[in-house]
Order: sequence, then structure tokens, then C-alpha cells
Amino acid sequence: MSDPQHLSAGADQHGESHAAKHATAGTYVAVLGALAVLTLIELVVAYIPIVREPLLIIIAIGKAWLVLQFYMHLRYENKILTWIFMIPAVAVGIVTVIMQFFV
Amino acid sequence: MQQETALTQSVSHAPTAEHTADHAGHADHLQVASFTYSVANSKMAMWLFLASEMFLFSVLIIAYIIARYAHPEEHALLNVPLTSINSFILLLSSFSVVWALSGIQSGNQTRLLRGLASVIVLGSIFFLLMMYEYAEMSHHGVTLSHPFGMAFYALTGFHGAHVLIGLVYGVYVFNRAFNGVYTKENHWGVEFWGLYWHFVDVVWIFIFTVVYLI
Repeated sequence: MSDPQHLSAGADQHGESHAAKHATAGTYVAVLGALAVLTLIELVVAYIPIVREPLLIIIAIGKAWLVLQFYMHLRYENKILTWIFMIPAVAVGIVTVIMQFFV
Repeated sequence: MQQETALTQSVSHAPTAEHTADHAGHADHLQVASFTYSVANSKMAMWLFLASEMFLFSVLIIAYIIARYAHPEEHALLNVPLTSINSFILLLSSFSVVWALSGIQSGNQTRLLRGLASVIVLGSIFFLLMMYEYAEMSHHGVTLSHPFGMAFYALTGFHGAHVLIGLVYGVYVFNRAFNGVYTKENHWGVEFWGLYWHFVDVVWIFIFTVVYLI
């Protein structure tokens, strides 16, 4: 852990400045709106006969990205946490896609 | 980790009478630093845990995909409108978590309590609607002994178990918030639980897409 202070939040000597780096209430509302709109788009896309599956997966990745970046604060954290989560996520994604060819 | 142990040991030794004010100030600094390392380590531990959880869910998702293509007629029985409402409910619960967190970050205890209560109510509704869907599916003959049912219940049930654990944990966090444990300066407990709850939401985003929409 190269820089543990940047991983921490709350009761530390940098608590207030760290909190200020978090998203604002307005950002949280905007992200909720984006998530709701993307979910509605998903419901429409589900009835499109062609390129339905890749589109749905892309939208799902977009929604997950919004939650991870803004609600889980990865955008404001030390990048090591992003790597900890994203490396297995990409590995799992690749395995799942490969499995599609054997179904 | 070694640094944290060293710092904790330094702090745990009670200062002797010959300690000067400078020493006391140094000890205070170490105590803050020790807590900082402790929070940093627990945050990293939570992210490592969440990363490991992805492997468990991915195995279940792959098993479901195999069952889904082998049994398309059972897939048509899934209640998409009901589950869409459930998706919105879970997204709203995630928003309530950050709303509660941003409340306590600005010292607003009322917003913290209302936000946490909203998450518990929304999470409970999500779980109850999931149980209703299970009853509906089993009424149509999709039970655990059915190959499609086994894959479907294993995936959504494992997720539901995470929701239930998150709810119990949420009640615990709410109780602590109600007793005034969390403050503007110290609200790590809320953020820690929030990470878990958001992860449950992230997993549901993929389950909703893969199980219900594709």
C-alpha cells in the first residue's frame, strides 16, 4: 500500500478534505437519473431483434461503471482499488464471453 | 500491514510518567495514523472481498446461460415487468445509501437516519418481490429439481442471500446511527456497509440483463 491515507475516509486527519473530494449530492441525483434512463433504454432494446445482446451488455457495463465510479467512489480513491476490482472483472468477462461459444 | 502493527504497538503502550507533552502529541499523531492505516486496510480488504465475490457470481451466471439456452420455454415464464420494477427499487436503494452517507459527511444525522431507513425498506420490498416471483415460477412448475430452475434459483437466490445479509447489516448500521455513533468526522461504518450494498446492486445490474432481458 503505497499511500494508505488516500484509501481512507472519515475519522482521519484528512477526513474533511477527503469528504470534499467525494461526489456532491447533485452528482448522486444525476447518476440516479442516468441509471433510470439507461434501465428504460434496456427495456426498449430488449425488443430489438438485431444486435440486442451486445447492446444490452454494453448498457449494463455502463450502469455498473456509474455505480462503481460515483456511488462506490472509485473515481475519488487510490487507483490500486480500481485495479483490485477491474482485473478480476475483466478476467471474468473474458471467460463468460468465451463460454458463449460452447453453449 | 507491518507498518500498521508497528504503529498500533506504539500506541498501545501506555505513556509513562516521564513522557513529556511532546511525547503525548506524538502518541496522538500515531493514534490518528494507526486509525488511518486501519481504515485503509479494511477498505482494501472489502474491495478484495468484493473482487472474490465476482468469481462466485460469474460461475453461477455461466451455469444459468447454459441452462437458459437449453430450456427457452421456461425462460419465457420469467416476470420481466415485475423484475424491472425491482431493478428500479434496488437502484433507488443504492442512491439512498449515498444520500445517507453524504448526509453524515455534512453532519446531518436526520438525513443519515432517513437514508438508512429508506435502504432497509427498499431492500425489503426487493426481497419480498423476489419471493413472490419464486412462488409464481414454482406455480408454473419451475422448481429446484428442474435444470432451468436449479440454475435460475441458484443465481438469483445467491444474490437474494446477499440482499438479506445486507439488510441485516443495514439494520445494525441503522441502530448504531440511531445511537449517535456516526459523526461528521467518523462515519467509516456507513461507507463500509455502503460498499457492500452497492456491490449487490452492481451484480443485480448484470443479473437483470443476462437473466431477464437477453
